Amino acid sequence: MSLEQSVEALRYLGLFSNLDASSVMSTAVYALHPEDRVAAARILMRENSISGVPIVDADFRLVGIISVSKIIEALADGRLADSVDSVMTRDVVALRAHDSLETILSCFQRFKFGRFPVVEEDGKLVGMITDTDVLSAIVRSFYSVYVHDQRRMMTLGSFSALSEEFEKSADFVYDISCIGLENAGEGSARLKAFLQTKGFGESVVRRASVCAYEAEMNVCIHAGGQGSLRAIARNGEIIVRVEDEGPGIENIDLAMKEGWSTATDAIREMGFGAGMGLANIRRFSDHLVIISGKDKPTKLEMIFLAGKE
Amino acid sequence: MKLTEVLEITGATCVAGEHLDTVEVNHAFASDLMSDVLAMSRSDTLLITGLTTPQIIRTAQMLDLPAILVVRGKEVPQDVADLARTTGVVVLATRDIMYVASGKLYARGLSG
Repeated sequence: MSLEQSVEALRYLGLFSNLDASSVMSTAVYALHPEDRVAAARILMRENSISGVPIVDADFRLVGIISVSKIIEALADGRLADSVDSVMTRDVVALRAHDSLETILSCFQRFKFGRFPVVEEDGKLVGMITDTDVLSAIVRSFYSVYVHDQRRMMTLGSFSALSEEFEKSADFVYDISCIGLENAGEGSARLKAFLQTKGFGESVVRRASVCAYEAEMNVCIHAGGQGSLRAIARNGEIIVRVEDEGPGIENIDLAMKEGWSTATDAIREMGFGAGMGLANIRRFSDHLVIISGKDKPTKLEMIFLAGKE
Repeated sequence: MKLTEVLEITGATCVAGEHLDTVEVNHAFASDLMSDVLAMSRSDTLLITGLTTPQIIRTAQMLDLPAILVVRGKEVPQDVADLARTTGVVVLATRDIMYVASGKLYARGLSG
């Protein structure tokens, strides 16, 4: 797929619509002043392995950019002692902080530069974007809501975003075994009591408990009531994993939609099955991984960050 | 609003819990959909519902809700009342329908 086709696909499918330039860019950026010498730019680039340096005025407004090719020209002309101002490119292609990923990729496609400065409305430099930044941002966003079904399995192979830690050492283990709905929620109640003893704040414990409860209810409603609820709670982080033996979620995208449910009327009469379970889980968790498929077990892993209150 | 006032305003009886004059709620949420209740994460809230399953107690427990008002004159099963007692959730029951109970409490200053 060419870059042009990728941009088209992004636009058509609305993929990564949550990513804008401010969430893609690197903010640890080296910049120089127009009066700095070309030699300074050369050293900066060599020592930090970067291929371009943005030039800003005293107010941090972007006024130019100097690239490796300009340095090579300056070297050939013996102008390393001249000011950056005399050799820099003034007509800089810059991105705005709120530009979409689609706009960012279009820029890479149109201008063939290796990097783009990101500026705010007032022209102040706030970051830089290279193709590595774009790739990292995409990988990061996969991790925040990583939904895995048969289709993605074919694309990504057996790659799993789930923590391996659970196999070795879970801090909390509860076997879900639920006939009818009588004891549905007991595991989450125990998990909550456990988390309270671990010194986590009230709010993160509540978020984790609510999500664990929704996930446990899903096992009881949709997966025959057999499964496991496990948690790792350390270093300011609560990871909760809920697994069952199937029958799995055929279409995860659909199941994530608010109001969509396959629950029976009997379940609805009990106050569940309104199609809010996964939507609630997505809302209250900081990271979410779901691995499932038709006639497959479902594995659901949620991460709650104590610092993100 | 103290739970003793909730009791008086809705003509409810106490199914589980004690020392109602010491328990206070500042908001109320009326729903028979527990996921909708779970989506509203605020702890000092009275849950008004027509359901009497163990899940109403679990929902209250997860959200740290102090009390539930069961409406429409539903009888609360013994096991649900027992679960409420062990988890420390107060359960009140009124003959009012949800709309009427909510209206009465709202009129007396219990906000949504």
